[in-house]
Amino acid sequence: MTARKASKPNLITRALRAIRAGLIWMSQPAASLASPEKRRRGQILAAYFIFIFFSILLGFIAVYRTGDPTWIPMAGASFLLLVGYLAIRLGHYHTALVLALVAPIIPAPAQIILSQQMTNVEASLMWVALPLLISPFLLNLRQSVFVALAYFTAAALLITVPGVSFINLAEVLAFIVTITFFTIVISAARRNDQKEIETQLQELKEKDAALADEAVRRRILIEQSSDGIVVLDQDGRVYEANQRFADMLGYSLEEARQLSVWDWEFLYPREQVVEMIRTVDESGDHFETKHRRKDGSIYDVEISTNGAEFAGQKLIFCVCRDITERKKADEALKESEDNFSKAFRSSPNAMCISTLEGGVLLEVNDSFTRDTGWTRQEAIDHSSLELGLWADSEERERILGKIRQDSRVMNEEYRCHIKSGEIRTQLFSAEPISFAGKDCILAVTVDITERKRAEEELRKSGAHLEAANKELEAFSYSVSHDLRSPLRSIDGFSQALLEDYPDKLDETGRDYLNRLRHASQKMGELIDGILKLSRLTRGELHQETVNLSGLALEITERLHEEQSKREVEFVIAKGLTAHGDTQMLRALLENLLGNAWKFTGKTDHPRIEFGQNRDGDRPVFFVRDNGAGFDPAYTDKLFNAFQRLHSETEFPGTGIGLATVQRIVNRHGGTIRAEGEVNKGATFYFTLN
Amino acid sequence: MVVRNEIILLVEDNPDDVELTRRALQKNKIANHLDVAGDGAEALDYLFCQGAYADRDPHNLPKLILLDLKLPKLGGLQVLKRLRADERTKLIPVVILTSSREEHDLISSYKSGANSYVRKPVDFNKFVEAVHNIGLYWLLINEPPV
Repeated sequence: MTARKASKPNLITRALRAIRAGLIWMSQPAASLASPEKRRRGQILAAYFIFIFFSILLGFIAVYRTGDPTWIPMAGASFLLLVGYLAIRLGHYHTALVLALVAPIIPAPAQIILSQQMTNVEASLMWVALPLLISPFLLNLRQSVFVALAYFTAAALLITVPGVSFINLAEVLAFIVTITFFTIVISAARRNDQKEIETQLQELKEKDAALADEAVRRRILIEQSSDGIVVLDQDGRVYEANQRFADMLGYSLEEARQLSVWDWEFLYPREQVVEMIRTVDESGDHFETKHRRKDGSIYDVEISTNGAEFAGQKLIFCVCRDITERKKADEALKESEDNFSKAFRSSPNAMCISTLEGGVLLEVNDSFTRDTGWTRQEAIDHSSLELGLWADSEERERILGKIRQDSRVMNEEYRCHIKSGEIRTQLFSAEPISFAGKDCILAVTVDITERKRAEEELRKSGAHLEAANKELEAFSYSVSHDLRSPLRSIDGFSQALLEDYPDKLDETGRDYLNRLRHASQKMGELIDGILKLSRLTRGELHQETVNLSGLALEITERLHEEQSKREVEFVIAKGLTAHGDTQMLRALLENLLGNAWKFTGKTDHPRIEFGQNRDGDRPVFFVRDNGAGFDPAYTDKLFNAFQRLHSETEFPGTGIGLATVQRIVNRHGGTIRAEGEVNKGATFYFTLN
Repeated sequence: MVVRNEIILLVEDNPDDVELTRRALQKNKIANHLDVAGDGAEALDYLFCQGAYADRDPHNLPKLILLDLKLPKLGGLQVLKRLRADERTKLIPVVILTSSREEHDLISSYKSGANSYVRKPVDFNKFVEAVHNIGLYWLLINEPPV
């Protein structure tokens, strides 16, 4: 449209403009002109109008000189030039160029034919000019100029030819100048075009190289991508895929290229996938799904997809990201959040979350409402200060100071003022946490009021116990000392009576006195037994390695010494040791071996054995005899204090020995049990720690 | 048993025990003079010739002291400590004669300077035997330092 409008100005204005454009082009470096097309158009227009201008000039010179009707060739040339001009207007530059070249040549023969005469010089010049006219298309600029100069020189030489007038000469010169100028312009334009083509070629080469680089970069990008990339055609078949995509599915790349989308899609049914392929466009889509691997396993993926048409074929570009780990992490996070929430809600300890600044409660659990009496609604959005939870402001300052300093506190005791007005003792622990994007404190409190009370009671009862122990000690001292004295008097004076007044006493009297003595001695033994038993429960254990075999040997030797008439076979295992209190273990063996000694008193071939069995890793010691034994029905009474299974006349005793044994075994963390039968002996098994 | 006319001091509050001890000594033919102090304070008065015993000859110290632990006023251990703290009575053999068999009594007696610790048995015959041994050892076998 703009081109048609521009054609309206008159011819002269246009010619002048074109000349100006041509002059501008000639005076300026080619690169400074706006576009190659404009430049080219300027060049050709300039050449055109200069040529028209000189042709007209040439015509006028011919008319002026000969008075011939030279208008015919002039009009022919002008017509051709006009057609050339239209060709330029229509963009057919080559046609225009050809017309421009032939315009001055075609009219010459026409003129010769029409006028039936030919000025030699003109005609020859016309014909000779032909190669010159062609020269710009064959020669470069310098050669063209050289040829032009040669013509110019030849024309100059024409002057010397007789009969050549000055006018002839001027005519020839004008012609030559025109042709030369034209030659220069055309060849310059051609050269310029060549340069331009070279530049364009260079640019094209560079563009190609850049494109090739780009392609490599993209290939690397695709191949190196940690995401699987697959391109599908509109039927859902794989059009192209990267290695990662094949790896993700567990196929080789070649195998993957044979697949279709429903070979791996697990979540969406085929119809839905087809629908997706149909609808997806350049704006793309983004969704999560599951893919099935070659081995049948399923994994989570995130898909980014776009659809676009290439050469009439719709392709769907998919970037597949394996999000198994992310899913797991998400789940773990969610799980941990759930766990925290559960722990918070179900904690038996009061928990609350409050802001670091201002201490405003954001969340409290059921235990908090139970311990403080404030409901959740009452507590939330209020500070602990507003609820008056701190019974002692100094404690509050101390604990808050600690939080500021160490950013946490652990089991700080404080007194809590609860809603009912009661003051409870609690342990306060706090950690900084982030809650709903705010810096907060997670506080845990444990109500220890009851514990403190119990502790106080325990302390009191401990004091009682200590007092009771002291009393017991005083009591046993008194028993040891005072209860024995009267016994000594009874025994001593009975003896004195027997000795000093034998004649005043008959048999019965003496018997009675003996009974008195016997009873008081028996009571003395009982008192000693009780004291021994009570000492065992009180005294400390002095743990050491004790040679039990050695102890047993000592005891049996002593028994033999005391009653050397008896013949008892002792079988004592060698090298038995235990960890315990020597004195107590001695008492233990004394009692057991002493019992065995005593209860084999009426047995033929008495045999007493001390040895060790094993119960797993634990050594089990035993003392076995073949004496009187006991009725198994009374086994459970065996270890009770003062419990006797035999009459005093049969086997004397206090009934404290086995109670003492059991106490000793218990204090060593062991157990004791007995096996026996009447007249078939007894075995006592015991373990120690 | 050889008889010597040297004093034995019995510190004992129970008259029965005094009588039985006296009897046991007699049965063992220990004819030493037996002086009896009924409590700890009296024992010290006796030994240091003070109070009721101010007239006693301070050089006539007992050859052996039989000392009960559980005494009115001043306990046996205190008496023992005072004896051992005094130059005059420091070297007199002291045999603790008591009903107690508590371990701490035994240990503190020896720590306080007792020469011997004998527990009075209930059986009088055994008591006689014990007194016999005490007398035999401390009055005959043992060589006193003075």
